[in-house]
Amino acid sequence: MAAPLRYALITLCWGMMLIIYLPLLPAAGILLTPAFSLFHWQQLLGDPQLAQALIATLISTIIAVSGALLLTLLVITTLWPSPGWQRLASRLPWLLALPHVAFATCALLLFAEGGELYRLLPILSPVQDSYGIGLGLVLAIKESGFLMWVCWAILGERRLAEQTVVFKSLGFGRGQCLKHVILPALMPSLSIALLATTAWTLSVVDVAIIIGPGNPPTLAVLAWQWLNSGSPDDQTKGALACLLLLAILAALAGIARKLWCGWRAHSAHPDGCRKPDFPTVPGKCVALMLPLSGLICTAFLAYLAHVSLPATNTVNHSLWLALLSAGLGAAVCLMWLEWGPVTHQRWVDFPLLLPALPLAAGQYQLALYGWFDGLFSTVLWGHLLWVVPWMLFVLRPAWRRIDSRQVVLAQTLGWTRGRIFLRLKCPLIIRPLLSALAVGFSVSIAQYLPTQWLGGGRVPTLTTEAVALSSGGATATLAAQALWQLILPMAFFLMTALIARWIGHLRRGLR
Amino acid sequence: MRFHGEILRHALLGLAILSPFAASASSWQQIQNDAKGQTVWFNAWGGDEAVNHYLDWVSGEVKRDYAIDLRIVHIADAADTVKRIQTEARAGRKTKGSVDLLWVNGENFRALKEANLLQTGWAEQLPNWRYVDTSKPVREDFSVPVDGAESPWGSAQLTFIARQQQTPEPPASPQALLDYAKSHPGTVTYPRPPDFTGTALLEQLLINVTSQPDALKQPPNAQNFAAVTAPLWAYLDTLHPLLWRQGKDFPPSTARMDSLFSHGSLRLSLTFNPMHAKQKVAKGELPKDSYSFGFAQGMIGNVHFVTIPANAAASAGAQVVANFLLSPTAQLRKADPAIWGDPSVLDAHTLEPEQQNALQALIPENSPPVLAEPHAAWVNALEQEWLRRYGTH
Repeated sequence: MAAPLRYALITLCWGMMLIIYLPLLPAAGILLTPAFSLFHWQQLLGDPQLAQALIATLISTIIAVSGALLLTLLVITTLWPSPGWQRLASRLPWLLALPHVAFATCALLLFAEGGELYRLLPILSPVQDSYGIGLGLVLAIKESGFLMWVCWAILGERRLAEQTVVFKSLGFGRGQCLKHVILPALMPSLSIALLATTAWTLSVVDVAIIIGPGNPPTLAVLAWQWLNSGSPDDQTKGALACLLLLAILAALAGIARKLWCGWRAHSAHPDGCRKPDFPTVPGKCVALMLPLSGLICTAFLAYLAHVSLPATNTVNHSLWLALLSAGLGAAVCLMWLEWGPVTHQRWVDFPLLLPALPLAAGQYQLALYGWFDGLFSTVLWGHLLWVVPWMLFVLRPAWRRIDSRQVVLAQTLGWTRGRIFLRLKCPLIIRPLLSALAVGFSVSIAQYLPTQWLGGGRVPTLTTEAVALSSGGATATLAAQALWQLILPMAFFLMTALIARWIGHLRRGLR
Repeated sequence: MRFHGEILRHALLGLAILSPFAASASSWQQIQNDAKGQTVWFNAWGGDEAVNHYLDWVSGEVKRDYAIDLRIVHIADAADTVKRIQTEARAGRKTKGSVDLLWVNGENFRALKEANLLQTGWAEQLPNWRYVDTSKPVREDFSVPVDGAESPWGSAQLTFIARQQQTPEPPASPQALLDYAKSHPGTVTYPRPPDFTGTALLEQLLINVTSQPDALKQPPNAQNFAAVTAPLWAYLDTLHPLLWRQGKDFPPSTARMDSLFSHGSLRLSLTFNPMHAKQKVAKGELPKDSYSFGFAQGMIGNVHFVTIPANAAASAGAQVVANFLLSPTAQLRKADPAIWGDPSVLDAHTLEPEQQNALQALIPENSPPVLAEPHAAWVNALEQEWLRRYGTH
């Protein structure tokens, strides 16, 4: 490719990323300003609720993330790379597209005091859960669906499957295969997914209010209550609690990294001892139950809902925002991967880890300075701050694993960089790309704060209406709203899964 | 002569009364003219279908009568919108703000008013202000002077809900409530402060049990807080072991209390809308024999308002909408439990006889007297002390 065009493309892709990520600057200001007030730190640390809230937060997060990881690895060990794994992947959207709040509400209605389970079996009595164990379990199940979806994109490659077959044919069992072949290949790409899951679980508010501990609630709920309080002191305390959550995230990530490195150093090579036995029943059960739980929840919601049709303009706004932001996001991500910096830029992942409120406030400040608030295009720009990092996060591992020998081969055949990009690289990552589109689509659908702030209420979507209506707490309304929120992402997930299967039939190497 | 003098005096009096009215009538005409064709963005809590449907009706009415395009922005929490308005102020947005009309009261109003982010002096100039029941706290919102910065819209009162079948004789005092909890342990509770209904119950009990009720009209101070609140904590120390989950856990909201109440885990629920029980029974969300009650001495109540931010783009339109919301037609419709069931802020005696009867029919029978909220500063002080004492398990 001619050099000037390449420079133009590089400038273009940096320019787009900077426009999308510019709100990080005012957001950092909003986030960090309170940190320099010693008085407010003392207020936060002296709060009697802090210790118990922190314990509940840590317990629920550790249960949720490690539980989700365990379930995922169990299923991978049992099923991958069999047709069962493909079947599971095409059924996962049932769980994935279900909004977290809807899943939590179903859990509440089934298992909480006065729930269906205790009405059917009066012998059982619910126990008070002060440590967030129930919250952790529910999130573990929900998040395991997400982790499996990520793994499905990462494990789609043929070479790893061949290695596994060779390894197993040497007489090693499934458990050993997980330890020595799959995990080392999976972990570097999966770690950012685990980090994002941890960040999300630590800071989740709506789900924690529904099924989390009540007295005191988790730290994220306390932070939210303080941020919403009228007193400026409380608001500062809430901002500091957000920073504390970020510090916990960093600490947990550091510990997990240490553990992983220690474990890897400890068991670097298989010792030749064969352990072929691995029970496959639990993994198969989990693989069957996970999508089923999503289906049961959907059916339960449909049973509870007093369905009324949402306004046409909310559906239109949601659909167009999601389609456009997924499409634009895919273009930006592919350009960034091809013409952006070769090394991984950490700041790109920040929106996945930072709380949404300062980011949305930062975006809104920029929009106000530029007098472009209240427009559809501004909301679209706002969504891209979350859609792009999520899509990059799905695409990047696949992009890295493109065999450089194939690229060299194409270059020796005289292919230009543009042709290699379009004819070689894009087809190679078509499946992760579809997966990324589905993720981008549902991330856009789920945005509440940026939609409401940047749109100034001018661009109502299914989610802004659902959040507003659910604030009343009526179960029937909540169920109906959850159903509407679920339909679009589910349709999109199913569509991409079907396309991926169809492409898999056409291209042997991607099956 | 005496007669003539009388006429003259009346005429003069009439003129004296009429002339400012005439002036305000013409300026109101001006406001109505300005409002024509404006789009008004009304940010209102959207957590109840009944409220949303009512506001859709309002949109249709003001479109037809005043050519105003009223758009409702459904929000989950007014605090979000308050933050949005504050962000606009920080960014120097003095005109063309994103909010024209906002449904608020209490803390959120105080935050906006103290930062000078509201238009003042318009509410009492609205033509329909003449119907407002000024014996209700419409000039002070949680003891913060309103100064015409917000127009009253509806009123609310802390109310218990019970079932006829389980509780034929409702507890009519804090002592009776304690006895009730003793005879039915584990079936009474209240939402965890800082949920505003939970905090309201604390204020209610404080008013009932304290020996220094006058102190509540002033902000609490370090000297008297302990003495004023000591009877409340003594009362709660006795009550809590008898509560749901021995008072070690509390439901997060009144919505959760309602669901525990309908499942039979609780015998009492709590609400800030006196017509809530009627409305939810009609919808089938609460058991059929649910009814409302309060303490015989009275229950605390307050008023909720609509306000116009200083940077509103359609201030004239917003005033016309606020005026329509105060009209007897709109208030009567709002008070009807079949529509929404939010008590009116109008004084029935100022209305036409027909409307007067209709309004009186909607006021719940033998509803307890309304007690004024303590000074706004008590909210935070009580919450902090409650959380220190009972906020952990």
